[in-house]
Parts: sequence; C-alpha cells; structure tokens
Amino acid sequence: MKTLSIKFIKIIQFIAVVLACLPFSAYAASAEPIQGSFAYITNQGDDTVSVIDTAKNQVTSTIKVSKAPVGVAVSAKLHRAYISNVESQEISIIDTQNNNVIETLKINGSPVGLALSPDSKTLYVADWFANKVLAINTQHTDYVREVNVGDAPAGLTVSPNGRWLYVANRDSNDIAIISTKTLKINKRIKVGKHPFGILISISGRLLVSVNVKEDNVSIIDTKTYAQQKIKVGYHPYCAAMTNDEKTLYVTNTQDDNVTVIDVESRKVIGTIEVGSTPEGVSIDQANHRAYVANWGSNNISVIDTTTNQLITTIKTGEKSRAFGQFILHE
Amino acid sequence: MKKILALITLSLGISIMPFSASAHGPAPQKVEKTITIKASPAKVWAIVKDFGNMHQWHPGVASTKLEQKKDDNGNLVTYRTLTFKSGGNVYEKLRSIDDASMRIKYEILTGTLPLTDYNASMTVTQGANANEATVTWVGRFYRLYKLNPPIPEGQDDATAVKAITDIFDSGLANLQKVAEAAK
Repeated sequence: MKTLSIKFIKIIQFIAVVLACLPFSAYAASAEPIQGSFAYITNQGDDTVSVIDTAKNQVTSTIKVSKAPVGVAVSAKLHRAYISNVESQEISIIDTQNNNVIETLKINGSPVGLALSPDSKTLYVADWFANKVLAINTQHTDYVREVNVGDAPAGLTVSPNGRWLYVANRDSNDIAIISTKTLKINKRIKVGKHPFGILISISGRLLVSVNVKEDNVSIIDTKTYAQQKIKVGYHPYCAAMTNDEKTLYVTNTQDDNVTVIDVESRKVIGTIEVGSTPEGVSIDQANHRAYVANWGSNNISVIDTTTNQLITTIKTGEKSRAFGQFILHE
Repeated sequence: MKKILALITLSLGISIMPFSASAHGPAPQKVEKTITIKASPAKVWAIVKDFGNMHQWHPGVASTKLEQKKDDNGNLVTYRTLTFKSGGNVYEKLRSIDDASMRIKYEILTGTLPLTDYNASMTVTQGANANEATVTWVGRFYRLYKLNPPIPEGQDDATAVKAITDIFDSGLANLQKVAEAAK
C-alpha cells in the first residue's frame, strides 16, 4: 500500500525531475543521439548492468543499479531500460541516451519478470512472492494497478497488438492471459512443469513457454490454443525467436548449451555449447545474432543466427542473468 | 553403537528437507573454488570422477553409499548418499561424467544442508606445467527460506554459501594431499 505522503513526495520528485530536465533536454535534442543496437545485461552478483554495443560486441558502459538485478525491459520510444532488483525490491530506470539511473521505484514485493506494452505506456512487473502483476504507468510511475495471478509469476510478455498480457506462473504450471484493458484474467492455459521464460512471436501467432522442470518448451497457437511440447536440455530457462518466426533458441541452464528448434517442423535442429549456466537470451534481429547471458561464467555468448555458430564471448559482470527482452534498437 | 546410529537416523529424519519439489527464492547463489595439484590431470580426474568413493578424498565425508535405479524413462541412473562426519547427509544424483572434458556433474535431491536446488560440477584441467592439474568445483543453489524478508536465521543466503564454501575448501585441500600422495 502506498501512503498519500509517499505519493505527494513522488509528485514533487516528478515535478523536480521535469524542471531539472527542461533546459537540459533542449540541449540534448541538438546533440548527436545515440544510435545502434545495445544489450542491457543484468549482473546479479555485483549489482550492475553491462551495456553491450552489438556493432562492436564490447561492453561500452557498466551501470550500478540496486541489489541482485534480474529482469530487464527496454524501450526505444522512451529511451529507457527498466531493471528489476529482486533483493532490494526496486525497479531501476535507466536513461539509455546517457546510461544513468534516473529513478528508482520501490516495489512492495519481489520484482522478477518485466515487460513493456508495445506503446511503452505500461510497464508490467511480476511479483514473485505476492503472486500478482503490477501495471505501472511509465509516464507517472506512481500510477500503479495490479492483478492477482497464479503462483510465482516469472516471465511476462505482451501481444504485439497490446491487448493481451501473458504471465508464466511457475508454481501453478500455467500461463495466465490477461486483458491489458481491464487487467482481468481472460483464460489460463496449462503448460509444462515450472514455466519460467515466455515469449510471443512478432506476428502474435505463437506463444512459447519454457518449462524448467519438464525439460521442454510449449509452443502454443494463440488462436486455437493448440499446444506442442518439444524436448530440450536440462533445466531450460528462457527462449528467443527470430523475427521470421523460423528459429527458436532455448537456454539450458544445467547443460551449458542452447537448443535450436525449427519452429515450422517443431524439431530440434542443433545444440550450441555456450558459457556455464546460460539464462537470458535475446536476439539482435537487425544483425541476426542471439545474445546468451551466462550466469555461471559471467559472460555473454554471441551466436550467429544465420549459421548457428558461436561468434564470440563477451565478459560482463558477476552472475549475468538478463531475464527478459534485453536488446534495445536506438 | 547401534543406539547412537539410531539416534542419528532419528535426528536426520526430522531435519531432512525436501529439495526440488517446492519453490525457491529468485536469486541463485554460487560458490566456485579452484586448486592446483602437483599431479597429472589423468590421475586427479580418476579420483574426482569416482562418484562412489568421495569419502576417500573428502575429509568431511564419513561414508559413500552408491546405488543405481531406473528413472521414469527407464534409464539407469546413479545415486549416492554421503554421510557427513559432522552429522547429516545428502542424497545425490549423478548427472554426467565426461571423460573428454574431465567434468563430472551431479545434484542434491534431498539432504540436511541448509540450501535447496543444488547443482554442482567438478572439472579437471591441465595446469601450467606438465605434471600439474587444476580442479574447479562450482555449485549453484538457493537459500532454504523461500519467501520475502525477514529471513529466519540459518536459512539465509550467507548460511547456504558458508555451508558449501566449507565443504569445497576442506575437500579441495585434502584432494590435493590425496592426489599428490598417490602413486
């Protein structure tokens, strides 16, 4: 529960930030804007975010955030990266034009998964312990709505048309489909045991959940809800799909590799050895590369999605997780 | 002696915690320790990969009981029960032994250690000199307490990390002695 006084302070802070930014933004607008693709990698062990310029495959910035960062969501529209810090129960908001933390939101819960609506107006935050999802207005961050979901909500994703929010409820073994308008659960779909990562394809046609304790992924048709499970490696965590919707990449935390699935035939077409305990994965669609965050070896494996070969490994921070869609195209 | 054993068994029965069945906290912990041993990697690997004989090199392990059982898919899986000299035990599943990369992987299914969802690997690599091996032991796990703060004493991250750090440090130190003494 937020008290009135906290709200009041937040409003004052907001006004102060707006005032402080006014002369500066006028100046910034005339300066050369940052352009390119960047990976925002959360490092749980040293409370930082590593920013990788994907054109160089180098860490170009390291940002101190709050305690035990895990989830990430990025917005080119707002020039923002949102980071969930599960231990300090906070969201760090990064201005991606200068890579400074400009605001830290206190969350009365344990934020893990994050997702933004396609219009970037709403940030969804999964509260792992309180079994609810918060909907935060990105323009007025003290406007917060919430919805009770299943047990231990983890991964979040929003349909490309912005109408539906999908929540992987790890301990209920299902996905909740929530109307973003009413913030009510429309349907729940049973998937495999312990769904953690979740994604929706660019067309909105396919939904994927990564089922940790069943060692498989569920590929679900969002119209018919027909579901197929595909066996992957041991304790898979996250998945990412190419924008042509042909290839799916799944991280296997306890096998130290990535399973490559041909989406059309629903067949495994390859396995790529990466660093140790791979967790988050996102695709730089413009450059056809998958970035895999390795929690165990504190680095990123970069995969060429046209050849499915490992290109390079980039050292990041302690215990890289990068849970969420973490590639920003500025 | 029988009486003492019965007492130990009783106390274990009470304190054993279910491991993988329930939820855990969202921040996994890691302990990684390395030691350099003046012995050939092949010799060190032979000791490390011997899943049923951990008591022969780890000073904290009183005994190792090896079992093989079929899993749900009908595959034969190897398990061991380690009984600690300090009391308590763990029931572990062998995940893989890879001779090419000299890596063994295993996990804890149940036990008395103050942690959950424990996965570990031990890897032997060639050291800087010909007759030198490096052993790296890595564990990933969660604290025992699964909910929001306040966290009860003895169930926090620090307690879990300390338990594994102690096991790794004492184990690797003695592994070095055993391997260097072996002919």
